[in-house]
Parts: sequence; C-alpha cells; structure tokens
Amino acid sequence: MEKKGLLLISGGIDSPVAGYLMMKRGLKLDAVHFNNEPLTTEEAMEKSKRLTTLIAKHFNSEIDFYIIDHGINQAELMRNCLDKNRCVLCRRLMFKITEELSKRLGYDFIITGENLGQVASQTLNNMVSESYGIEIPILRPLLCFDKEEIITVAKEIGTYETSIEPGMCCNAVPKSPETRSWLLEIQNEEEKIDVKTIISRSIENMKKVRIKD
Amino acid sequence: MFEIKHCSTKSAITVKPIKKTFLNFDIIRKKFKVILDTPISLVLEEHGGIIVHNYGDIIFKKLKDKEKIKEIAELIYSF
Repeated sequence: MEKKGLLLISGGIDSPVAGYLMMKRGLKLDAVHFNNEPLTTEEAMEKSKRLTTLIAKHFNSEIDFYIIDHGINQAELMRNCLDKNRCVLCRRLMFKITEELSKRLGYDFIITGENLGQVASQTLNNMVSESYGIEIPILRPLLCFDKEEIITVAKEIGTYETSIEPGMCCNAVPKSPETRSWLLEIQNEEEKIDVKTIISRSIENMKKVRIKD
Repeated sequence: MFEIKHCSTKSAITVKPIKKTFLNFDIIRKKFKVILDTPISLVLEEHGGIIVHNYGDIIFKKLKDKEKIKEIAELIYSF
C-alpha cells in the first residue's frame, strides 16, 4: 500500500520546500496548518493554502489541506504554563494532534520543515522534548540545510515569493523562549493542561479543503 | 512614551513603550471587548483586532491609521 505523509505547513519559506522534497521522492502528501487566530491574522492560513496549491501543481496532485484551530490551544498554554517553555509545548501539541490525526486517517509519516538551530524551538534539546513519545516517524528533510539552500529551492519551485509576503507572526511567542529545554520539566508542564481534551477538540473542529492543481 | 512601528514581517503595527510598562488588564477588560483572555495577553475585538501583552507591547492586526493607533495606545497606557 502506498505510504503517505502529513506535512505541517506554515506560511513560511521552509515547510513548503520540505513538502516538495518529500513529494519529489515519491511520498504522497497531505498538509495540516495550525491556525493561530486570533493571535495572528488569517494571512498565514491563506498563504499556506496558496503554498500547498503551488506544491500540488508540481506533481499534478490533489492535496487535502487540514486546518486546526490552534489559537485556543495557545491560550491554554498561556494560562497554565511557564512562558519560557511555551514554544516547545506548543510544538508538542502540534505533534500530538498531528499524530492522532495520522492514526485516524492512516498517515505513515509526519513531515516538518524544521531546520537545526534556525529558531528557538528547533535546537537539538528542544526537538527531543517536542517529539518525545510521538509514535509516528517524523521526517525532517531540511534539518541540515543552510537557509540559503532552502531559499534556493524555494525560488526554484516558485514558493519563495508567496512565502515572503507580509504575514503576521505568531504572537504567542514568549520574550525569552527556552532553547535548551529539559524533557522532565516539559513533561511536568504538560500535566498542567488537559492534552487529551485539546487533541480531541482540535480534531473535532478541524476543517478540510481539497486542493487541486 | 512609546514608539510605533511595523512588526518584523511588515504585516501588523506594533506599539512599544519606551520604558518598561505593566498593563492593567482588569481595566482593559472593562473598556474593550476581549475575544481571547489569558493572564499574559489579551486579544481585543475592536479595530480589526488588537493584541495586548502584559509587558506593554500592543499589536494592531489590521488597523493602519497611525493617528487612531496613537489614540488607542495612549488610552491603554493611561489605565
């Protein structure tokens, strides 16, 4: 049976490149976008949809685009958890929700555009904390790319100009996010929120759009 | 008292206080319609959406009128 993956897509430069590279290697891909409204505007979601369309066009493919309301989840973290850990916890929630979605819908892989050291959540320590316990394999095709290499591919595949359009960044990022989280501390923090309810609510309220080339 | 500038992605406009400022969320909650309420940040419905961080930054999601932004920021900082 054909393997398929679920790409975590934002409106940025990296995730569409990650999706393109995986599809180029033959992986059937759909996409999930975590919508941070009202902590941002709808532009990130709209950009993500357009970026997904651009990838779909390359492979004459249809891509299911799932939208998860994540602003409300971010608010739970802001109410209950230490500021410094919120980026890691946010990412963990995204992985857990995507994992559950993958199990329900039969996806074999989670794909991200993570790039080592680029932002606070993408250090080695933090990647360990974020993906600990996730049972679906996480593929990170851009992990060791330079930013310039990613941009080169983005320009080649036509996603770069869309990715750099103005778009409000996430307003849940704390002033000093932790770059070297400790797994035990993250696990303790996670117990302050009802992860199971967050996961099931996120999937129940999820929207899906089928994107065609 | 504060400076007004575009956020790093040029999409929203951010107001930053010159001096460290801790905002009074209790009063802000009474004066504005809050659509997301946390101890750290509030999202207000007015003017296309305003995000208020407790450490003093105010982000205007859609409003571009700098005079109006200045007026609202002055109000919020006066609480």
